[in-house]
This record gives sequence, C-alpha cells and structure tokens, in this order.
Amino acid sequence: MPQRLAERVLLIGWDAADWNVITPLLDAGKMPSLQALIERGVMGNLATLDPPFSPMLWTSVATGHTADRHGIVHFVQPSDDGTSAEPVLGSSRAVKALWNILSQEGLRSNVVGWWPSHPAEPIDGAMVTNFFHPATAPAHEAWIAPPGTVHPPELEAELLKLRVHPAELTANHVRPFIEGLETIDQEADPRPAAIAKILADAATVQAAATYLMDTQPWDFTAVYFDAIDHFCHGFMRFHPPQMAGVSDEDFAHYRNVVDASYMFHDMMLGRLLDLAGDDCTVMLISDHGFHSDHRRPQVVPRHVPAGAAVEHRSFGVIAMAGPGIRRDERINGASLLNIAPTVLTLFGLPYGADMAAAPLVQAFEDVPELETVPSWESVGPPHGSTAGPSAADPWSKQEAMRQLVALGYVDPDAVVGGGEGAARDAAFNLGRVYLSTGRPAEAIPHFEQAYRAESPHRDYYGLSLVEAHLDAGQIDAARRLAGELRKAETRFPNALALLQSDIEAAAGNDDASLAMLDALDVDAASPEVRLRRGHLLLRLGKLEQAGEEYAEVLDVDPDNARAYNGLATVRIGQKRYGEAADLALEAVARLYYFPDAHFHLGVAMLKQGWAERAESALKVAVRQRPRFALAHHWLARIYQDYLEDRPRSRQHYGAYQALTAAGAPDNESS
Amino acid sequence: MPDTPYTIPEGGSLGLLAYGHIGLERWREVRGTAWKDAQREAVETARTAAPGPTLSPDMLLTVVTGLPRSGTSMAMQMLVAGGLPAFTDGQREADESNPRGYYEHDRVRSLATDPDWVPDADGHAVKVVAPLAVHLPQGARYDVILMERDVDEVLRSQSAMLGRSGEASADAQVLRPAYQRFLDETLAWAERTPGVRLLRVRHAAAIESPADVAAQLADFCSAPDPLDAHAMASAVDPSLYRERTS
Repeated sequence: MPQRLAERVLLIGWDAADWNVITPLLDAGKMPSLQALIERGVMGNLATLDPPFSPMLWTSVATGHTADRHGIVHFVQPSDDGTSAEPVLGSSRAVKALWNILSQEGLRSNVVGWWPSHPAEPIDGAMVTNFFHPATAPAHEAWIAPPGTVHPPELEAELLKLRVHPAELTANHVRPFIEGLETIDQEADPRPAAIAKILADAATVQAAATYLMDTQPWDFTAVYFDAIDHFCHGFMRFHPPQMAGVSDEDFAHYRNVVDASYMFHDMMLGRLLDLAGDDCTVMLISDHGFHSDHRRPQVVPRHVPAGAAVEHRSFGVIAMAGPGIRRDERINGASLLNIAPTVLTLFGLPYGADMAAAPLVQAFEDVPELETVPSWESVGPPHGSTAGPSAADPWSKQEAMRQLVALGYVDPDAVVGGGEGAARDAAFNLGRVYLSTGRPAEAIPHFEQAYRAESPHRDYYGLSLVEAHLDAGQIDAARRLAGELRKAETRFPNALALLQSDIEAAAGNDDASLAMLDALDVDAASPEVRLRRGHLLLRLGKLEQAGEEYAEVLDVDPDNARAYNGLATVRIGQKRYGEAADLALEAVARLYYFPDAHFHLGVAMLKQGWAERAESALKVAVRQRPRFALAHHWLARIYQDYLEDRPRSRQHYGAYQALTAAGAPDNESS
Repeated sequence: MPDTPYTIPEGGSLGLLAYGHIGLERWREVRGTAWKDAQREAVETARTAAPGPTLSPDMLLTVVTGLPRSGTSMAMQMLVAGGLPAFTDGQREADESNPRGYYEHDRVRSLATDPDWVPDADGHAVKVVAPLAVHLPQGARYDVILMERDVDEVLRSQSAMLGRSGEASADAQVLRPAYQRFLDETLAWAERTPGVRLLRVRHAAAIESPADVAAQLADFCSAPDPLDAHAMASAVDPSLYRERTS
C-alpha cells in the first residue's frame, strides 16, 4: 500500500473560475487568500471536457471517469414518475465517487453542495446536497428542504438554521457588487435581486461547509460553489471593457459584479483555509473558465441546447498546496480527470486503472508511490449499496415508463410530454463525450438517436454526426449527411461548409478543400478557418504559409491548443525540433486529451535524442487513441533502435501493421 | 479593471457572511430574529396544511403490485374469489391478453399526480403497477402483495401483448435494469413506509401450488372477514401461463 501523504484533504470547487479574471485581482492584492495558497503550492490550468456542462464535469472530478462511465449526461433527467424532466440527481451516478471510496476505506468525508449530489448518500461522514442551498421559496413563505437533503438526518435541524434567504440580506451585502444601488428602480430591474439570490445561496454553502468542518471529524471535505458561474452568466457582459450593446448606465451599475464575486469567494476561501489548518492539503479547482475578454460572445445562442455554454472557456483553474506539494510553481497538463486519482494518491490509496487519467505527479515534491486497482467498482461493496437505493439509469426508466403507457398501465397524460427533448440532448451529450475522447464509432449511434428524432435541433445534432462519420473514416456517410443538411437548409451553413471542407480534405482533395475555405462566406480571419487552412497548407508542403495561419490564430486566441499543435507540426517539418517540442508541450498543457499533440511531442523529443521522453509521450498518444497507427510505428522504432526492447518493438510494429491493414488512418489529424 | 475599484470591507456584514456559520449567527444577532421567526411560522403552517387526501389508520387497502404481466390480475382474481371486493371501474375489458379481466380502475393509472381516490378504495383489493405503488400516500394501512416473475418472461409477455395491438416492445436491454429498479424501489418503499405490510409472491409458485399460495394470501391479509382460501386456489388457471422460461 502506498504511503498516506495528506493528513486531510480539502477540495474546493469554484464553478467557472478563470485565471483571466483572477490574475488582475491577484496583482491588485484583492484576492489575498488565493495569493497565499498559490505561494505555498502549485497552480495551473485545468483542462475541461467536452461538452463543458457542469453536472457532467463535477461528476468527472468526483469519480475520475468520463460521462459515458459515470452516467451523468445532462443537466436534467426524467422525473421519477416520468411526467417531466427534473434536475439531474446524484443517485443516477453509475460509479463510485471519492466519498464512496473513502467511506469504504474507513475515511470520513464532508460533502457540501456538490453538483449533482441529491439525494444525500449514507456515507461515513456528512453530506449536504445541491438541493440544500437554493432559496426556492419567496420571502416569509415556507422554505422546506426536499427529503434527503442532509445526511446524517440528525444534523439536518442544525444545518437548516444556517440557510440564508436572499430576503435576509441588506443593501450593505450587495452594495460591493453594484454601483449606485440607490438609483436603480428595483421594481423594474430584477438584477439586484438576482445578485442577492446568488450571494445568499453561496453564503448558505459556506455556512454549511464551515459548520461541518468545525464540528465534525473529517479526512476529506469537498465543497462546491456555483456562484461564480451564475454571476458570470448574468453579469460578464458588463465586465470591463464595455461591450458593444451594453448601455452606459448598465455598465456603470454592474461592471464590478464579476470582480466582487471573486473577491467574496476569496474571503470565503480565507475562512475555509483557516478551518482546514496548515497540515491539510488544499485543492481549489474550477470545471471550466469563462470568457472575459474579446472572446465574450455578443449573443448567447438560445436556439441550440445548452447554448449558454458558448461563454465557457476551455480552461478552469487549479491551485494546490499542502505538505509534500511543490511550492510556488506552475503545473501543466492537468485536467478534471486527474483530480480523483490525485486525491486517492494523497490518502495513500490506489487509483483505478479504469479511471480516465492518472494522478498529478507533477504537483508533488517527490514523485509519489503509485498503485492501481483494476477498478474501484470491484473493490468493496458495489456502488448503490453506498449511494442509496435508486442508483440506476433514469433514461432507461423513462423508456420503461413509456412501455407501461403503451401497455395501458400508466396514464399517458402523466408521462408523455416530459423529457423527450432532454433524452435527445442526453444522447447528443453522450455522443460528444465519445467523439471528444477519440471514439467516433461509439459516438455515431448516439448522434443518430438525437438526429433521427423530430426536433427543432436536428440540424445542430446533424453537424456532430457528420463530424463523427468523418472521424470514423466514413467519408461517404459524412458527405451524404452533409448534403442532406445542406438540402434541408440548415441554420448553420458556415459550420456545415467548414465540415464539407474537412470532408474533401479527408478524401485527399486538398486543393478542393482549400478552395472551399476561400469561398466561404465567413470572416477569413476566423480561427476555425485559419486552422483548417493551416492544416491544408501543411499537407500541401507549404510550411511557411501554414505557420503563418497558426500564428495568426494564436494572436487572437492564445490558448488554442490546436494552433500550438499545428505550429509544432510545422516546426518538425522545418527540422526545428526544440521549438516543436516546446509548442507541443504548450498544446498538451492546454488540452491534455490530444493524441496528435502527444505524438508530435514524442517525435520532437526523439529527434533531439531523448528516447525515453519520446517513449513516454508516444505511450500517452496510443493510450488516448489506441488505433493511432503511426504512433505505434514510432514506438516500435524507439524500442528497436534506442531502448533495445525487441518484444515491445514487435508488439507495436504488429499493432501498426494490423491497423494499417485494417484501414486505420496512418497519419495524425489535427 | 474598474476605474474606481471597490474594496469589500473585511469587517462589514459581507465579511460576516463569508465567515460561515459563526459569522452568520453573529449577523443574525445584530439584525434580530424577526425574519427567522416569520420563516419558522411559515414552515409550520405549510407542514400542517400538507395537500392530499384525508386518510386514517382505520383505512385498509389490499394492494396487488408488481410488473405488468407478472400475475397481478391473477392475484386480484384470487382475492376476489376469496371474498375481497376489487376496486375497479370495469372500463378495461377482458381480452386475449387477460381473458379473465384486468381488475383495474382508471384513476389508479394517475396515482402519481392524483391520489384523491385512495379513500374510495378502503376495504378493497386494488391493483397498482410497481412503478406507481411508491406514490400511495401515507396515512392509511396497506397490505401489499408483490407479484414476482422472471423478468424475461415478463418482457416476453409484454411483447406478445403489444404485438397483439400492433405495437413493438422497447429494447429488452433497456427495460430489464429499469424494471429491476422499479421492483427495488417498491421493496425499499414498503420497508420504510409506516403502515405498509409486504408479502412477496412468486408467480411460478402460484401456478404450481395454488393452494399453498392461497393459504399464504389468506393468512397475510388483515381484512376483517377471513378469505376463502379454497375458492382462491380454484381461481388460478395454469393454462394462462404462456411465456414460461423453461
């Protein structure tokens, strides 16, 4: 058994927190608690997952699994009686979360506000669910907590007293968020009340967390705040610099809301750190970022499912400090999927070999001893016995309810009309999970399910189906479907045109593809167009021009992992291997699940004579994309020529031959 | 950055909120308890004015539940033959799938959204399919008979029933775990709900040994008048057991 490295672990979630907002506040001395945490630990970007929808992401944080494994695939799920869609429940999670694993290993947890965590699970410790803090009742009306909000029940009475209702707040509470509150007609402008609501919810979470940390014995505390995300969705458009379309008056009133929300969180952080103590290892994370600059969308699309997510940035934050953690350093390549394995490592527990990522060893002063179990699902009691009675897939339950309606046993009016749209979105989300983790063939049936049903979003779903066909090498199917969408007059002609250009590129018609890009009725400076132009120019051997396209993308979007990877490819072609390695590292630092970038990192390392580093990068590439023929080929070369490991060389060469014989693409795509 | 940045005062009331439970308590001490008192009163009022039918522990419903096509109609026939009246409106007529009738009441199908009929079923046997039984409101007594049948047999039987009306059954792979969940939830509901007694009856046992099962049912039911076990056993027709596994 590995050594336990942390006395206690405090995991704090700030939904949507972003370094781009935090950094100026740190520089101005306005987030002193976070500043202190960073100075005694590590910090870095935390890559999000696709789709960037919070309940899916926070469940990945808590489990180490992608949504296809953990089963939380949407914001909602069919209600128990099938009459409607209801907020997604923690009981729909299909695998163990950290608190289940820690419970069975004899460690006590406090879990507060985690999304989704309702109904409370009978863990060793205390759980206050995400149904606890939202103030659902008007002032002076009954605010009754739903059953199952607190575990153990004997804590409920005391915790319920700690809920803060917005009506309990005063102008003094919201004044730091709003300039000129007195001049706002609150009958006509609901925004001050909205601010009070978000603030009250956050104060409730904080009060429950501090109460449990203060009064209950614990090894692990996980506390999640949704307030920054809510403040940002409501008020980022008023954040400086003033956006077009924002009136001077609104800008004057609400320009500080986002900054003030971060400063309030910093104050809450200070108290949590005090209660945790110096011997506690602290991880502060966010599930995604939030555009706060010129990339803020002018319009948030309401005509696509979960359109508000367009405001999300691909990188959240991580700051981590505690005994044995490196001090005042940056870490790269962290993703949400690293969190659960890292917490297990801190407690001296093995992580699951079936988890989607490994512990963040780069955060530790000394590389910790790592151990795995094949799966935590087969260790200890099965999931469900620790999660309560109803851990199961609500979507299959909805299907079963429909069958009972068809059989005449359940009233159709009580079932039909609820959840069909949500079911389509859930299928679509699951498809995105498969597509973004290199499993396009598995994505296709889910996209098909969403696309084939009657729905106002068919054309939106169809774009992803084209993409999946393309990634799966099914060029004819992609072309047919693209034609179908074009004929049906899609609402997204430019996105479709880009995909059609991709189809031609995949078919080897590079010149035709380039011509299609040039003929597009979109801004030629758009990163999406430039990335494609760069890729095509690269394939046509026009390295200089390709490099210019990628550099332009990075000027507009300095966090674009695909542009870094493209530029790395250019540098390899130009035999500038040192630069290529640096660029590939920049790419994987921003998007860890990126087999092509790991491949280019491996190639660049090997060309500089660093065979072991190259091996390491290429191994990640084939782990992320097992059918990556060319990566297998390079690994075979490394084992044959540098590391003198003939059996492994043969193994990878065999994989390469089998894949190329089976028609798997033998070159990377970017 | 704003031209005139704010400073959130550490010592102010926002700071107290950020301080967590102790800060909140201090803030409430300063502010007074009027808000809390009003809230408490509202909560109490809401608790005492909970909606729903008026039930009493004197009321007794004999509930037959289980997955559709797991022998629930057969169990209802047995209870009726034994002397217990059925809560039924006779709307759903006997057909090829259930030649002896369904023993159902249309209002039961809306139990999840409308439980107001429950007092009307006092003293009766009532058929409530498994996903709906958990919606029976608390306050009355329920003798619950859970019919259990091999899920694959249930699925085949449902598929045959849907086939007779020209409809296709949903994917068995999808339905199987969901059906299991319905049963698990029914069992968990029966265990935790005051006033509920539970008897699990295997469908196959009722076919193979109707006399034994009838005696078991008669013994279980707490209806004031004893049930006629002999008549209950005679109500079982094994020839209707068509989707047998082996």
